[in-house]
Amino acid sequence: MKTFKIVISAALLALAATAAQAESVLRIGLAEDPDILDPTLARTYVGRIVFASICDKLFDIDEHLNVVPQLALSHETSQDGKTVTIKLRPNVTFQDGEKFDAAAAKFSLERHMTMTGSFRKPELAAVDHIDVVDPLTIKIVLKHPFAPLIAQLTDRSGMMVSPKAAKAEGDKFGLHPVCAGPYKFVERVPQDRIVVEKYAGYWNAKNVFIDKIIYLPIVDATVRLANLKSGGLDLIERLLATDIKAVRADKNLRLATALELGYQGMDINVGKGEESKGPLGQSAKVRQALNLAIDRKALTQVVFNGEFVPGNQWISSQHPYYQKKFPVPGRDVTKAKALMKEAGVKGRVSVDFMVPKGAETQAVAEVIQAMAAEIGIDMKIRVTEFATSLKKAEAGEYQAYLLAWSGRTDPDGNLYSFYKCKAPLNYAGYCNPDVDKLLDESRIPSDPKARMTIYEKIAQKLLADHPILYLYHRRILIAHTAKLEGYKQMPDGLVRVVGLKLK
Amino acid sequence: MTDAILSAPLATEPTIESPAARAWRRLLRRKGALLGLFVIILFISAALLAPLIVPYDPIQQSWSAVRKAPSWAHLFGTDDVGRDVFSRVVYGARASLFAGVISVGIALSVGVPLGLLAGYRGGFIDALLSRMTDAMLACPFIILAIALAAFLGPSLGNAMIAIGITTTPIFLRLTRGQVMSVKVEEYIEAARAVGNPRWRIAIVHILPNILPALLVQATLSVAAAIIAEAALSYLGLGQQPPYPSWGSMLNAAQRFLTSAPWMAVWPGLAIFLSVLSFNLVGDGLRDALDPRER
Repeated sequence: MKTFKIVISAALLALAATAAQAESVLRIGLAEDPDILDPTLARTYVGRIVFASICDKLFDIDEHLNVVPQLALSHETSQDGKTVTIKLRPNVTFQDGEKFDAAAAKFSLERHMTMTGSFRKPELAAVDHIDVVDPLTIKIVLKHPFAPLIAQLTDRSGMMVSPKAAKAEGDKFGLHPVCAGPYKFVERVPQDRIVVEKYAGYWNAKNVFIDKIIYLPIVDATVRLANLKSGGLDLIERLLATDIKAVRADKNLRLATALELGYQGMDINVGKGEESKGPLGQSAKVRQALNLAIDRKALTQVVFNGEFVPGNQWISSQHPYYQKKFPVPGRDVTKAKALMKEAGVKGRVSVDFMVPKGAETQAVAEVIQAMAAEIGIDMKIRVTEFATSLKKAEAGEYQAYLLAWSGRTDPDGNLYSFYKCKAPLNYAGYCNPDVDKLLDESRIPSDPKARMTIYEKIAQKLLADHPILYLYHRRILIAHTAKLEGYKQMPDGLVRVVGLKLK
Repeated sequence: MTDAILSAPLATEPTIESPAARAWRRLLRRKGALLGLFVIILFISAALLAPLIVPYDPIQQSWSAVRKAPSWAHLFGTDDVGRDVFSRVVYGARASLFAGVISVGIALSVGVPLGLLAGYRGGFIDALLSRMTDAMLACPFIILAIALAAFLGPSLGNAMIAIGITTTPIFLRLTRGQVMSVKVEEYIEAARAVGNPRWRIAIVHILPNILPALLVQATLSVAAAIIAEAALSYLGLGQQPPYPSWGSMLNAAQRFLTSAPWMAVWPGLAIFLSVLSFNLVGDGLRDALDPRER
């Protein structure tokens, strides 16, 4: 009897093992639980990681930020820059079997532009209307030339949703999204998991090798790494820079990195209410002095083991639009002190320094505090919960604010809204009519050289005024098991799943 | 001859011990309490003499010595921005012990007078104060402290106020209960009979008699307050950077539990030892002050 039981259970085990082998599952550890999975209504970075498997976009980017085709095949901008013609990929279906064509593309773009609560509205604000030219061609007509448009279509604005499902579900679409990506949505348990499975009808199905992907939100970075090491996860995002060494030393793990599109900077309140009235807010010379007091190399070395890259512009030095004329300044305490004197500062300057809560940001703030103290600037650190800190920044209740930006494919997304007078992300309260004019001009030419010239003029003004001091660019840090093959990291930080294999 | 007669009662006098001396003698008999007292004295003197003891400035960063393991140069190692952990633990004692003592001081100075009032007057004032106490005690101590500290804004001073306010109801309730049991004693009646005003009876006759219970509770509350300060600092609501406190040191150490465990071990040990010591002394005091025990 006993032996019989053992035989049975052994047979069951063997059966279970073959079943597990038959279906390959990739488990991905996320740093947060994503918000709603509707490309029109979604806001979070972590949500975009999940979209990468379920919703294809018109265009995608490669490692060098070049735009490459995805659901679209090509794009062409007219001479006056006011119409963009896009050819679509034939024989594409949504995960509910519906056909993807020009009418569906028009529907998706119009949904992004008009739906109540759409976060895509500002991204597509320049679009006047969309014409269907033939079943596989659309024409986007613009109100005015807008060079960053194609870059917008490489992100959520370019995600195509099934018109049938979207019409049926309305604002509940995000609970069961239906797109044209390699994986279809299966289920979601909030704060626990999101499950997607391979869509057999995907246009590029021959390059999809893993049957199922499970996304698991695990907030604590140390716990995420521990799960990866124990085999509970196959891939984790947002590894801590200080854990890189441990991952490199582990022969079962691999590290994938790319330099981010965004930056870590420090906003200075130069024009928002009473708090901007101090010497730091009023005098560009004091801000220049602070800029020279910061040793960016030492900062990244101390806090991030030298893994992050010092920066001084809204884009990193590896970006095609980086202004090489204005390199990252070294530390120069003598010059900084001289600038303080020129600015007519007597005694020490006290600055209210708002820092969003988080162990890494606090360490950065403390290093800056020590560096600034040497030239007579006392940064009084005020640790504030992140959402509260954004509200306070909007209200101008700060003098300096340590703020990171995740970055956009087109440099416009790192620049325009931060400096344009009264723009939503202009926490510094900066208003300069010359810069405003240049910012508007920079959006017109689609020729990179022409844009570059305008950006140079902008950089010259901004890097003298310093309403934002740029500090460094983070690395996107993804760690995965050595069993996973074919993983490539793009600068937007998303986890692309086409072409991945599990050994 | 007469001298001998007079000296007889004098010879027996040293055997009549004052209550304080008796309590002290009993306390010294308890090894645990003695050890606790020793550690507390050690920590307090370290906090007071911090500038003389520490080898480095606790906020001085050394960017060439980041997260170095304990060595002769840095006994407890260095932290994530290259500060000496030993110096920070010693200076952290200032924040933690100071916070413990001040917040309990606040709780005593508010809770005891109100408790005397409630217990001695009774009636409507008692009902009002007691219900307020109940309401505050219904809310978990640490949650209330976090809410108050978040409301007041993050700083060590505000954390002390928050902890002090949340500790107050414990003292109010204790004082009230003690007063109610003491005020029916005959010597209080006697004091009232000779025409003492109420405030005088409360302060001169009742208060000294309930002091032992308050002393014990105060010692135990200091331990709780040290933990609360560490919790608030850990959450970023207490001591603000770059100044050290044990709780905020633990917060910074969290990221490096595997790569630099010494950053967490020393402040953790300091919290553990100080809290344990205050609890041991509190327990010892309670036994020593208990008149039923010989």
